[in-house]
Amino acid sequence: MKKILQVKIFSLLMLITSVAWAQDRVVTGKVTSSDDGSGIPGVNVLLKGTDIGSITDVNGNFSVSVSGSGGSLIFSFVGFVTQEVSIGSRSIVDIQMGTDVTQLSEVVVTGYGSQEKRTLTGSISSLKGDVLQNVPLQSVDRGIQGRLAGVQVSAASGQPGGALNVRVRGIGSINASNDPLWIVDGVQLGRFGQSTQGSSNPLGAINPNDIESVEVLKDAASSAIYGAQAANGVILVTTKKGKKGKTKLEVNAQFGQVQPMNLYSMTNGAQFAALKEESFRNAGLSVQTARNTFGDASDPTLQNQDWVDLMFQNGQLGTYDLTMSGGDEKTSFLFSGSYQFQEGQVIQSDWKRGTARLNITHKPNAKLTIGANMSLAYQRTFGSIANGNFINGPFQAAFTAQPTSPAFNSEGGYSLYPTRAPGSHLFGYNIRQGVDEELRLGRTPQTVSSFNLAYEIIPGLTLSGLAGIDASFGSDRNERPGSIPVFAGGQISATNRRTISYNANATLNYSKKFNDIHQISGLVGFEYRKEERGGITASQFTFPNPALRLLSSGATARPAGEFFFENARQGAFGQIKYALKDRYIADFTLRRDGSSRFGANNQYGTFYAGSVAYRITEESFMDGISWLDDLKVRASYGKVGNSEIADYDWFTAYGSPGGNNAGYLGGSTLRLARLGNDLISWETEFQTSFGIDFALFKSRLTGSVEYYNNQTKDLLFDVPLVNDAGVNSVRGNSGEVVNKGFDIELSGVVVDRGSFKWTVTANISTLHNEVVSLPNGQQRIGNTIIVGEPVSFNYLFQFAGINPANGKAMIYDTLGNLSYNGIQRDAAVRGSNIPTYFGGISNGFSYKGINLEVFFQYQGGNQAFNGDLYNLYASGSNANNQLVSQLGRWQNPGDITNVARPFQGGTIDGFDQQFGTFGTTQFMSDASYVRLKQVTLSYNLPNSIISKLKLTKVNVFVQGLNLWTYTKFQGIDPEVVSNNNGTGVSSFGVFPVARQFMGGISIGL
Amino acid sequence: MLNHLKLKKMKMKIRNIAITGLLVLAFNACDIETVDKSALSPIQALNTAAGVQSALLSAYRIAHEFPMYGQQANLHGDAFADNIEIVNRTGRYEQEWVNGIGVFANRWATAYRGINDTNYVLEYLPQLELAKVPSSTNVTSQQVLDHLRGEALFIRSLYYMELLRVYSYEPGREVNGFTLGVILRDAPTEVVSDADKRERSTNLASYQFVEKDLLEAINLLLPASGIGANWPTALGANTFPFRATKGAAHALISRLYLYWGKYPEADTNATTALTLVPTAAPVAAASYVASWSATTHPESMFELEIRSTDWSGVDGPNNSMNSITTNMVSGSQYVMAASAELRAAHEVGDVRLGLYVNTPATLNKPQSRKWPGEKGAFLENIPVIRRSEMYLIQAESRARQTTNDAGAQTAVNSIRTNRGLAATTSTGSALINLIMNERRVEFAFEGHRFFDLKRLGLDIPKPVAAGVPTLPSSDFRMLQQFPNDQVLLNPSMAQNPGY
Repeated sequence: MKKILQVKIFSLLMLITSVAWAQDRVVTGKVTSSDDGSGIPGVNVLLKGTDIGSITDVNGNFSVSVSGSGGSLIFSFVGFVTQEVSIGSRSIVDIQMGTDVTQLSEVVVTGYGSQEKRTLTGSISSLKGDVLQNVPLQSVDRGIQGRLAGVQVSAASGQPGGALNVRVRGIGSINASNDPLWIVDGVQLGRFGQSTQGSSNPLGAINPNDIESVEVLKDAASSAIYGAQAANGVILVTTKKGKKGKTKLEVNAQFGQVQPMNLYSMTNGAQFAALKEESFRNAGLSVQTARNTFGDASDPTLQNQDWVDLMFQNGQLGTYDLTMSGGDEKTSFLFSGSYQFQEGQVIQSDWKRGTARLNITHKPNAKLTIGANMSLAYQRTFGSIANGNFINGPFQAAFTAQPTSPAFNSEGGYSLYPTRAPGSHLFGYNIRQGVDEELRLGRTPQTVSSFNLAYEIIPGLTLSGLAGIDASFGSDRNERPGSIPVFAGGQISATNRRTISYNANATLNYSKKFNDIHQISGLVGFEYRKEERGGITASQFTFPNPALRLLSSGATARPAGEFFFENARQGAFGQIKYALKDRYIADFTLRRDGSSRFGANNQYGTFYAGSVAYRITEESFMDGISWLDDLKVRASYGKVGNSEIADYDWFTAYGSPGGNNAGYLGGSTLRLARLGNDLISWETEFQTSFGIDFALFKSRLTGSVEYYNNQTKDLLFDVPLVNDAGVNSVRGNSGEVVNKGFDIELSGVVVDRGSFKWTVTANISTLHNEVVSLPNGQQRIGNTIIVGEPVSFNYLFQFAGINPANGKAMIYDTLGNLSYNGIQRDAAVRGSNIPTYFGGISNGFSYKGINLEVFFQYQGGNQAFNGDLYNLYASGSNANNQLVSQLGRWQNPGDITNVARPFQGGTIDGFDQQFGTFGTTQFMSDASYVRLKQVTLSYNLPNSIISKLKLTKVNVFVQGLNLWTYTKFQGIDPEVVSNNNGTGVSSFGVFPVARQFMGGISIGL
Repeated sequence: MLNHLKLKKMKMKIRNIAITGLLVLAFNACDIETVDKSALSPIQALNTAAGVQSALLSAYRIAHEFPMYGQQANLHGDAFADNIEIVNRTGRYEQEWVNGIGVFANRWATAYRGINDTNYVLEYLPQLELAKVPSSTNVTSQQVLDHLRGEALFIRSLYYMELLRVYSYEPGREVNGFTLGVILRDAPTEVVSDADKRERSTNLASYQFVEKDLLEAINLLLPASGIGANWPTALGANTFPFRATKGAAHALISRLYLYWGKYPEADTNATTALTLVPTAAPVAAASYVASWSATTHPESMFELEIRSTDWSGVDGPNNSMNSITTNMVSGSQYVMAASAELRAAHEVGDVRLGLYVNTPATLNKPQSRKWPGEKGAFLENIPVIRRSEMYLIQAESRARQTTNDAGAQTAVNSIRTNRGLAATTSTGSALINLIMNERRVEFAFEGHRFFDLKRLGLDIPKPVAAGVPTLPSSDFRMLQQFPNDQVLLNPSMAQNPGY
C-alpha cells in the first residue's frame, strides 16, 4: 500500500514538474506522411536546444509548449528524414515527413545498446522485419539469405524447419564452429541441434513474423564487445514491441503447395534390365543370372516401378498468425500467436510449429523501465534420412531402387525387395515401405525469453540488467516396426534431451552531448553465460506387435546412453565512443572473457577493437556538392575470439567409450578418451575493415563498399599424431586461415514517377579463403587441408574421358598421361565448394496499392562433387537404377561418350571405373547458381474500402519461392552443397530445397 | 518538501535494489569451473585392479572391431589368395580379391589403439597396492596382478603379430633385402611428447619383441583351470576361452615361431598348449559342421565373442561375418562365397565340404556356413586360435624338420581322421603339401591362407573367377601399403616398397 502511494505521489510530481516546464504558449500541429498523407504516430517533437518535447498521437497530432519568441521544432522518427522547422509566430505547425532512404537517422541495434546509423564506425548489416513478414520461411536465418552483404546463408537441408549454415565473412575456423552468435532480445541462443530424427533448427523457435529487425555485426568494431564469442560474427534479432496507441490486431493466413524441383530422370524397367544384361555379358557373367535378378528386358510384361514418383509428392503448407499490440503512456505490449505447417516434397516428411509471444514494457515512472520478452514454441518434425549414402533414405533409394521391382505386391501389401532376389540390393529395404512405416519424430518445446530492467540514474546515464534463457526439451522417437524385413522384431529408440543456455548481464550506458559538438557515449558491463546439454537415450528390440510401441514392450535390451555437457563463461566489457561535430568519430571496445573450456593457464583472454569514421559531407567545403548527400569513410581493427570447441578438451581423460564399446563380455571397459592439452586457448581472429558509406542524388542511390581482411590465428586443431601412438590427435592452437574480400550493398530508386516506384536493393560479397599455415609447420594434413588452399576443397583425379577403343574410364596422371589406374600422387586439389562470391538482388515495384517484389539470390565460384553419381552414373555396373544418361554408354570401339563400358562390378582388369579411392572430376561440376528466390505480388485494398469495413488494412498476396534456378551443377540442388572439409563429396543423398507457391491475406483491425 | 524527500528515498531504494540485484548476479556468476561427468584422469581411473582390468577389456574389445577379428582379419587372408569368389559387388573385398592397393589402412590405427590400451595396463598395474588387489581362495592378489599383466602382454603380442604379417616380411623371407618391421611401442601415450615419430624396427627386432612378451606372459598367466570360478568375484567373470590363459600364450608363440621358421620351438609350444586346455582332441567329424553353430567354438583356445550389445545400429547387417559371408539373414551383404578352387581342394568324404551350401538361394555359389549367425541377434563367436591349428603347427614343423615325418603324420592324422578322411602315410614334400592343403581347407574363411603362402615365400595363386594372374611372391603387393597420411606425417617411417 505504501509503495502504491509512493508511486502515485511520484506520478503526481511528474505531472507538476511537467506543468512547471510549461512556458508561454502552446503550439499544435499534425505530422503527415509525404507518401500518402496519413498521420504518423509516435514522431518525436523537440524544441531545439531544450528538453521540452512531445510525441505525436495515433493520428499524428501533437501539442507542445514553447517560449514566446520563436525557436524551432525538430521532428524525428525512425525511417523518416529528420526535419527542423522554425516556429516563428505560428501556433499551428503542420508538416509532412518523407521516408529516409539513406536511413541515416535510423537507429541500429548494437551490442548491449543502440546507435544511430549515421555515426556508426563498424560494419553492421541491418534488415527490417518487413522483409521477413509473411514469407513462409520457418526461421529467420532462411529469411536473411541473399539479403545482406557478407552473410552467406545456405541450406544444410531442405527439410522443412531444417538447419542452415550461416557464415559471416567467410570460414575462419576449421575445427571450431563457424556459426555466428545469435542473440534474440538479449538472449544468447544455444548452438545445438535439437533432433536426430531430421534436420532441426534452434532458430525455429522464433516466428519470423515477430521480428522487428535483424542486425549482423560483421567486424571487430561492432562485435568485439562479445569478445570470445564474436569471431564468427554476431547476429542480433530484435522482436517487435507494442507502441502507444489504440490496440491493433492483425491476422494473416496463407496456404500453398510445396513441389519437388529438378529430380533426376532415371531409366525405366526395360532400359535398366537391358543395361544389366549388357553389364553381365561384358563381365563374362551369365546373362541369364542378370535376367533372373534384374528382369528380362525383352519381357513385355516386365515391371516398371517409378520409385521417384512413389517417393516424392506435392506437399501442403499453411501459416496462420495473429498479432495484437498497443499501449498507453506507461505500458505497451505485443501479443502474437502462430501456427505453421509444411509438408516436404518427399513423403512422410513434415514440420509443424506453434508459437506464442508476449512482449511487454512498463514504465512505472520516467526513470524506470521494466520489460519482458517471452516466447514459447513447439516444433514437431517428422524427419527424413538424408545427406548421406543411406540406403534407407528416400533421397538415395528413390533413385537407386530397381524399377523392375515393384513396391507393392498384387494384394496391395509391400513387396520384398527386390522381388526377384530379396535382400540382394539395398539390404532388402523396400524404400516405400521403410519410409511409410518408420516413425522419425522430433518434438521440441522451446522458450527464448528475457527479462530486463533499466533505470536512468541521471539523464544520459542508465543502468540496465537483463536475464535471458533459451531452453528446449526435445524428445525424439525412432520406431522401426518389425514389418520391415531388416528390422525383424522391431526396433525402437528414444532420446530425451534438455538444452539450456542462460545469460545475465548488467550494463551502465552513458550518452551526453557537450557544448553542442562533443558527443560522448559509452558503456561498461558484466555478463555471465552458461550452456548445459544433457540427455538420455534408450532403445529396445524385439516387440510382440508393431502397435505396442513403448520401450518397455521390447524383449531385447540395448545399451542405454546418457550424455551431459556444460560450459560457462563470464566477461567484463566496456566501450567508449566520441564524436566531434558529428564529423570525426572514434570508438574503442574492450572485453575480458573467461571460459570453462580452457585450462587454468589460458582461461582468460582479452579482446578489443578500435575504429574511426570521418563524415566528409559534414565539412563546409562539401556544401557546394549538391548531389552528394552523405559520405562517410571508416576503418576498424580488432581482435575477437572463437571458443566454440568441445567442452572439456583441455584435460586428459580416461573414460568409458560408451554405447556398443562400453563392455567386453559383460565387464566394463575403460580407455583413453582424449589426450588433453592444458595450453589450448581461443582461436583469435584479427579483423580489419575499411568502408565507405554514401548517399547520392537526394538519396536516390545509397550504399556502402567495404573491404575486410580477417586473419584467424591459433586455430584450434586436432593436431594429428602418429596413429601408432594409439591416439590419433590432440587439440592444439596452431595454424592460420585468412578470409578477405569486399562487401558491397547498393540501394536505389530507379523510377519514381507518379504512383509508380521501382526500387532495387542489391548486394554482392566476394570471399577469398585460404589456409595460411598449419600445426608443426606442416604443408598439409593428409588430403584434407593444404596450405595455400581453401579450408575445404575437392581432392580428385582429373577425369580424362572414356577410351573410345575399349570403353574404359581414364584419368590424367601427374605427368599428364592417360591412365586407367589412379594412385595417390595423381590426385590433386580440384576446386573448392566454398563460393567466392554471393549475394542477392531485390526489385520492388509499387503502383498505388499493388506491390511486386522479385528477389534473386546467387552464389558462385565453387565446384561441388556430387556423390549421388557414384550410384547413378555407373553405366549399369552396379545394382542401382541408373540415370537416363547412362543409356549413352560405350558400346562399340569408336564410340565417343563419357559413360564407361557397362561391366558388372565396375572394376575392369582390377581398375575401378569410378576411381573410388578419390573419385574424378567427372562427378564434379560448377555449383554456381542464380535462383529466383522469391516473387511476391500483393495488393493493399484502398482506404475507401477498408474504412467501410471498419478495418485498417487488407492485403492480399500471392507468392512463390525458389521459382527458377540457373546452374551448371549436375546434382539436384546447388544450394544444399555443404562444406564438409574435404571428404571429397559435397553432396550425397541431400534433401534439396523445394519450390513453394502460396496465396494469403493479411487483415488489420 | 516531504514529498521530495520521499521521492528521493524511493529513488534511492530502487537504485539500491537494482544495484544490489546486479551485484548479486555478478557475484554468483564468478564460478566458471565445470566438471566432465564422463571421464577421469588416467591416474584416477586406473588406481584399482578393477579399473586396470577395464582398460585391459578395452584392448580385448578393440580386437573384435571390424578391421580386426570382427571381420577383416578373418577374411583378408582368404580374399588376398584363392579361397573366395566375390558374389555381390558392394565394394567390399573387391580390391582385395584382385590384390589392389592400400586396403589395410584401418588396421594400422586400430591395432595401435589396442596396443596403447595394453601399455596403459602395463604402466599402471605395478602402481597398484598389492593389499588392495582382490584375491580368492585359490588365486592370490599377486597371481591376479601377474595374470592381468600376462593378459596385457598376450593381447599386445596378438596385435603386433597381426600388424607384422600384413606389413612386413618374416625374418629370413625378405624380398630384395627389405627387413623393416613395425613401430614398437611399450609405453602408453600419456602426453603429447609420448607420441613421438619413430622409425620402424627391423622385422627381426619386432619378432624378438613379441617373443619376449609371450615368454613372459607364459610365466605369468594362469592356465584355463586357474580362472573361471577361481577368479576373484570382485573382478567379475574371467572365463576361458574369452580371456588369455597360459595355454593360449603357448599357442600364440607357436604360431609366431611357425611364421619365423623356428620349427622346433613351434612344435614344442603347440604340444604344451594342447596340454593346458580342458580338452585336447579336435572336434570329431560328426560334429564338425555343427561346431560352427555352437556358442563358443568347442576347439577354441582363445576366442572373442561379439554380443548384440557390441553392435551399433547397422553394424550387424553391414559388417558382421555372417552378413559378409552368407545371406541367411535378410539384408545381408553376402559378399563372398567359396571359390571353385577351394572346394576342389577338398578330398572326397571330407566333412568340411558340408560347410558349403550351394543352392539357388545362395545364388548357386558355395556359401560358407562357418559364420552362420544363427545364434540370434548377431551373436558371433570368433575363434582366434583353435586346437586344430596346434595339430597342424605340430605337423608342419615336424615335417619341415625332415627328421620326424612320423610325428608329422600323427599330428596331421589327428585332424584328418576327425574330418572324415583317411590317415595319411605320405612323407617328404608330399606330406608337406598335404599339410599345407589341410591348413587351407581347415582354416578357410579364417584369414590364414595368404599369410601361410607369404611366410614361406610362395607365389599367390588366384581363382580363375578373379580374372587376375598369380601374384608372384616378389610382387610389392605382398606387403600392404601404410596409410598415406601416416607416411606424410612421420617422415621417419619408411613406406613399404613399391607404394
